Amino acid sequence: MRAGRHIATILHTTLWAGVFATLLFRTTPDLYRDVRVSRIGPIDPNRSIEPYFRGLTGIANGPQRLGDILEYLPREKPLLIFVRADSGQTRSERNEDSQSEFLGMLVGYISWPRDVRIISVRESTIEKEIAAITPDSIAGMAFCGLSAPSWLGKAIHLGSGISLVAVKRSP
Amino acid sequence: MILLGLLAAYFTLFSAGLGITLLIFRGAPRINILECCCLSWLFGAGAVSIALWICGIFLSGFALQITVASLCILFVALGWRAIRHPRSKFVLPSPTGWLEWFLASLLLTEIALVLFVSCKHTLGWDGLLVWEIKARYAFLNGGVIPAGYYSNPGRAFSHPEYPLSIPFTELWLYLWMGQPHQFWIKTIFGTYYAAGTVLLCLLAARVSGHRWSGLAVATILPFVPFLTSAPGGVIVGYADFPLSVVYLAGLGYLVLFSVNGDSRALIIYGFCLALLPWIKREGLILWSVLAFLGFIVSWRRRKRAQFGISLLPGLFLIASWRAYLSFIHCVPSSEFSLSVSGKLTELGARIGPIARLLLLEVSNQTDWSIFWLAAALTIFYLGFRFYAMQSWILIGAVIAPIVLYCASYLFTTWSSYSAHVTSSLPRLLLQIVPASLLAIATVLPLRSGYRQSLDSASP
Repeated sequence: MRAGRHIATILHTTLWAGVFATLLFRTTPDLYRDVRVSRIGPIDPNRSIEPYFRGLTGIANGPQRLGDILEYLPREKPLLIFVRADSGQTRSERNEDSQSEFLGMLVGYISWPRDVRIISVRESTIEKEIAAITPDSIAGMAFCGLSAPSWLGKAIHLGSGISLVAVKRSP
Repeated sequence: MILLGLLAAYFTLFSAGLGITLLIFRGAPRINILECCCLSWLFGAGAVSIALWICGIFLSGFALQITVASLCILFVALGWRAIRHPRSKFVLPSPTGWLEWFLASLLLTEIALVLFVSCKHTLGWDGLLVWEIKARYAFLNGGVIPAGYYSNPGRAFSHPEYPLSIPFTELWLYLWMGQPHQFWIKTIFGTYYAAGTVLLCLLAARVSGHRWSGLAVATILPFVPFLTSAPGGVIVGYADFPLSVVYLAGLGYLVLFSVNGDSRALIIYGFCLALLPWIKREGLILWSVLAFLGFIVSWRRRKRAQFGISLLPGLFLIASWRAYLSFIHCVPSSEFSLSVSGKLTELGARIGPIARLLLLEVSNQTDWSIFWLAAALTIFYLGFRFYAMQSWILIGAVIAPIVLYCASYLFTTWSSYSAHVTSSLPRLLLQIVPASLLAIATVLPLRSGYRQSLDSASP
C-alpha cells in the first residue's frame, strides 16, 4: 500500500515537472528573442501608426502628411477608399490583399472626422466601379495598394502604397 | 508634463479602484496589500471607464474630467473611512523557504520583462483599429465619442458596437496627458499583466491551499507562447488578456465563496461579472458561464438572494449598453446571424470541421506549446481524483466557454466559416488560459488543499 502511494507520488511529480519543464524550455528561446529584438521607443505620440504607415508606404511622417493633404479636400463630402478585394490566389497575393485592407483602415483612421467609405474592389473591375460614382458626391478617392486609373488625372502619391485623387468640382 | 499627467491618471484610476476594494473589505480583520492593489486596478479601470461613459452623456471636456476625477477621490475617501471603523490591518505576505523566494523573484522578473517587451512593440491591428481609435476620437471630441462615429458605416471596421472599458481607460490617460500618446497607453496592458499574474498567484494559492503551487502557475504564465509571441497576446494592446484576468478573478472568488461562504468573495465575483461584458463582446459568453456556475454554488450554499443581487450590476450594464447603442443608431454587427430557418442541415455540417479546427488549434505547438495538453490532464485529474464541487466548477469554467465559442461559429456570416475560426479562435482560447492555470494549480499538490483553511482574509 505504502509502496503504491510512493510510486504514485513519484509519477505525479515527474509528470508535472516534465510538463512545466517542457513549457519552460520550449518558450524560453522565443522570449529571449523578444527581449533582444529592437529597442524601446521612440516615445512618440504616433508610436503605433507611424511604423505601420512607414512599413506599408515607405515614407516617414505619413500620417501627418496624409492629414495635411486631406485638409485641402471639401470637409462635408466623403472620401472613398479603395482597397483590394480578397481575391488573392497565392500566399503573396493574399498578403497584398491584407496589407491593402489594413492601409485602407489606417487612412480611414487618420481621416477623422471626415466621412469615409471603404470599397473592396478587384483590379479588373475598378474602372467600372469608379465610372458608377457621381463626382459631385465625393471629396476624393484614395487607392490603397492599388493603382489609380490614369484617366482620373493627376494623383498625389504617398510612398508606394497610397494614391490620392481629388475630385474636380463641376463648374 | 506628459509624465505628470500619466501619473495623475494612474493615481486617480487606482484611487477609484482602491476605494471600491476597501468598501468591499470593510470589516475584514486583515487585508492583503497585493490583493488590494490587483483588485484596485481591475475595479479602477472598470469604474473610471463606466463613469466616463455615463458622465459623457451629459458633460464633456474639462468638466467631464474633473467630475470623474472627483468621483475617484470620493471613492477612495469612502473606502478609507469604511476600513477605519473597525480598523483593519494591512499585511504583505512574504515568501517562506527557498522555493517560494525563488519563484517569487522569477515572477517579479517576468513582470518587468513583459512590461519591457510590451513597451517595445506597437499596438496590434485590433489594438489600434478597434480599441485605440475610440479613445482617440473621444479625446478629439472632448472626452466623448461622437454619435456620428457609431452610425458611420465607413468605420464599421472598428466595431463601434464593442464596449468601452479598454478605450476609455486609454482615454483617461489621454485626457490627463493632454494628447493621444500611443506609446504610454501600452503601460495599461503591462499593468493588467502584473495584476493578472499576482492575482493568479494569490487565488491559486488559496484554492489549492499551497502557496508554492500558486507561485508555480503564475511563473509559468508567460511561457505559454501565444501570450508573449503571437498577435493578440499581452504585448499588442488587445482586450483578450484583460478579459481573461477579470474572468480569472470572477472564477477564483466564486471558488472561494463555494468553499468558505465569504460574502466578500461573492461581492468581488459580482463586480468581476459586471466587468466581463464591458471589456469585450465575448465577455457576454464568459458572463453566462460564470453566472450559471454562480447559480449552482449559491443554490448549494442557500444564498440565492445574495447571488441574485450580485448579478444586478452586470445585468444593468449589459442592458444599458444595448439601449445606448440602439438609441444612437449604432451600425449593427454583421458577423453573426441567429437566423437558422432552413439552414439546420448546413449548420449541422459545420460541427465536425469546427471541432477539427479546434483540435488543430489546441495542438498547435508554436502558439501553445503543450499548454492545452496540461489543461486536458488537469481536467482528467479533477474529474477522477478530486470529487469536490470546486473541481466541477473549475472544469465547467474551462470547458464551457470553449464549447460556447465554437458553437458561436455555427452562426457566422463570413463566407468561409473556417477562416473566421482560424482568425479568431486563438484569441478566444487565450481568454481561458489564466482560468485553466488556476485549475492546474489545484492538482499540483499531492494533497488537495480543499480541506485547509481558505479564508480570503488570509494572505
